[in-house]
Amino acid sequence: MGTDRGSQPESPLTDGAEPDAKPLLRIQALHTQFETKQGTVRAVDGLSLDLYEGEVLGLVGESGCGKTMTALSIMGLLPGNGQAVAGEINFEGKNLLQCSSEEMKKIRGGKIAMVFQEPMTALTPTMTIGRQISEAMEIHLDLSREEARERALELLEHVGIPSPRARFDNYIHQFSGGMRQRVMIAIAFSCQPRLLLADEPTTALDVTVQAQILDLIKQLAQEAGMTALFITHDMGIVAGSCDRVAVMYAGRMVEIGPVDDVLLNPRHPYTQGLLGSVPSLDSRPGDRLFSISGLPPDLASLPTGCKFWPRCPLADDRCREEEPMLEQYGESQAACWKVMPLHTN
Amino acid sequence: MDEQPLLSVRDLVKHFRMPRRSILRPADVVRAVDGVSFDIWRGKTLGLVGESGCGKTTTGRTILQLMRATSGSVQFGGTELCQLSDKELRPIRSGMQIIFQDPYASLDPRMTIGKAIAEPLMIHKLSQSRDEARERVQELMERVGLNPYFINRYPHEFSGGQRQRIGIARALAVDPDFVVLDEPVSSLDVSIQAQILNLLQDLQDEMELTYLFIAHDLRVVRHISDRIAVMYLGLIVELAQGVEIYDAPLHPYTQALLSAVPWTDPRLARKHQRIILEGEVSSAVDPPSGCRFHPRCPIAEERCQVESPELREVQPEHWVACHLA
Repeated sequence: MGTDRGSQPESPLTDGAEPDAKPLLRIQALHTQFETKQGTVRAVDGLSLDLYEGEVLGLVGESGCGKTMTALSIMGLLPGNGQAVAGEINFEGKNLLQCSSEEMKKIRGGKIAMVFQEPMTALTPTMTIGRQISEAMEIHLDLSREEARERALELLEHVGIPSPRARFDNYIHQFSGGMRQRVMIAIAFSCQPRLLLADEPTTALDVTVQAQILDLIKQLAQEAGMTALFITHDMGIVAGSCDRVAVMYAGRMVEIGPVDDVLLNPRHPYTQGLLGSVPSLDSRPGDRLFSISGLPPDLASLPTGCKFWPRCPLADDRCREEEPMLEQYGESQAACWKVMPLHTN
Repeated sequence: MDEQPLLSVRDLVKHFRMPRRSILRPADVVRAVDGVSFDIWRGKTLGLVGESGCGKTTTGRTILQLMRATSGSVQFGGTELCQLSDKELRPIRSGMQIIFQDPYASLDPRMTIGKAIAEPLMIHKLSQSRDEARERVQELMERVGLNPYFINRYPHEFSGGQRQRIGIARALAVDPDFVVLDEPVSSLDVSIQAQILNLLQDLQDEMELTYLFIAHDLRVVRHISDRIAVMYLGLIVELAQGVEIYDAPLHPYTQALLSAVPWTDPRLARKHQRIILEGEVSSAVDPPSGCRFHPRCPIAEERCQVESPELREVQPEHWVACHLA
C-alpha cells in the first residue's frame, strides 16, 4: 500500500520524517549491559536506530525487551551496575557516551528531556511544583527567578492546569494522576528541548485522561517542531500517536517502518503476535486471541540464532543457528528468516 | 432470557464515612456506589467499565459481601445475601470467588503455591485428606497451565502471568459458580494478557462459570463480555449487549470513553474523532446535582443540572440514563 505521508492532514506529525533527512539522533550498535550474580545481562544488544528531525517514533516490546534501557542510555541515567559498553549515540555532532557528567547534566533537561511513567517517583515531593519548573529554566535558560516564575505560570496554563497561580505553590501529592503527568510535561517542555523521550507516559492513567495527555504531548511537540521517542507496550498508542514504529525483542530491533506499514502489514512473527494479542474492533466477542506462547528470554543466557525462535511458531533449524539481520521489505525492515517478500508492493 | 438470573443486584448502595475533620462539621460521606442494579445470567459475562473512582471495584466487593452494603439487595442463586450474618454467609462464599489485579499482592510470599491453592479447600472442608487436597491442587495447576512439578515453589519464583494463573487456580479450587474478576490482566504484558484471557474463556466454557469482569481497558472488556455496564460516579449510565454498546453508544459519557480507545488499526485511529472531555471526574463526596455527568457533558442542557435521569430501556435490552438519549 502506498502511503503518501506528506499529504495526511489528519496526522499532523507525519511531515518532518523525510527518508533523506539528517537524523537528529543516531544510535549505532549500542550495547548496554548489567553485571549481576547470574552473569552479564545484555539489556541492549547491538541496537542501531536513527531518529529524524520532527518525527515521533514509537519504541515497542514487552517488559524487559530493552526499551527503557535504550532511553536511559541516551540520557546517561543507567542505574549503578549498568553501562553502555559499546556503540555510539550521536546527538548534534556529539557522542553522548563520551560526554562528561557535567556535559550530560547540561544536555539532560535542556536539549533532551524525558517524561516518565510514574510522576510521583520522578518529581521531588518536598519542593513546590512551581519551584521545580522554574529551577530547570533558571539553570538551562539562564533566566532570573522572576522571569522563570512568569514562564512557569504560562507553561502550567498551557499544559491545562486550572488556576495555575493558585497551584504554583502546591506540592505534587496535591495533584491527581493526570495533573501530575501534566506537571511533568510542563517541566519536560520548559527548556524547549529538541528531543523528548517519553517512557510509558500514560500507562498509569484512565483512558479519557490518557487521550488528553497524548493529544497534549502531540500538540506541544508539533508547536515546537520537536522530535520524540515514545516508549510504550501498547500498539494502540503507536497507531494513534506515532509516525514510525520500532519493535524491540531481547535488546535488539526486529522490525522498523512507517506505522501504517508495520501495523497493517507486520512481517516479523513477534510483531504479528503483539498485534494479535490486543483485541481489535473487528474481532467478534468470544474469539480466541492470537497469543505468543512462553516468556521473553533470560537476558543473561540468550538462545543462539534468532532470539525469538523458542516462542516462534515458524522456527526451523536455520532460525535456531543463525541470527537474521534487518532486511528491507517494502517501506519497512524486519529481521526474520521466514519473511516472504510477498506482501511488498 | 426468561430464565432466572444467577445474580440479581438491586439499588445497591455503599457509602463510606470519612474521618471527621472538625467537630463542628458532620463527617464527609463518600458515595462510592449509589444505587446500582443489574442481572447476570449463568455462564455469561457482564463487563463493568468506568474510570478510577467510579465505584466498580466497590460494587464487586459489596456483591461478594467482602464489604457490607449500606442498602439494597444482592440475590445470588435465589438467596438474599445482604441480610445474612457472617456465619450464615460462610457456606455460600465458596460459590463466589474473586481474582485480583495484582497477583503479587494477593499471594502470601511465605506460603508455597501448593499451600496457597489448597487453602480454600481446607477452609471450606472440601478435601477429606492432605493427599486428596494435593491431588486436587495438581489437577488445578495443570488446568490453568502451570507445571504441577512446581507445587512447592514460592510466589516470587514465578512471573506475573504465572502468578495470575496461581490466583485463578486458587479461586477455582472451591468450584465456584460466580467469579468477580477485578482488573485481572491490567498489570500484565499484552502477550501474557492474551494468554490469560484465552484461559479465562476456556474455563468459563468448561465449568459454566459466570463472570463479573471489572476493567478499564475497553478493548479487553469488549472481547470477553456478553453485556457491558458503564459506570460513572457510583451509577450505571448505560447497559447493553457488548457489540451494540460499541456500535451505537447512546450516553455521551460512553461515547467519549469509546472515542478514546486506542485501537491498533492506524486507519481507525485517524478516522475516529476523539471526544475530549473537559476536566476530571467530580468528587464522590459531593456529587453534582441532576445528572452527575453534566459538568463534563458536551451536550448538557438546563434540565440536566436539576433532574437526575433514570436508567431506562430505550431500545430492547439497551438501557441508558440520559435525558437526551
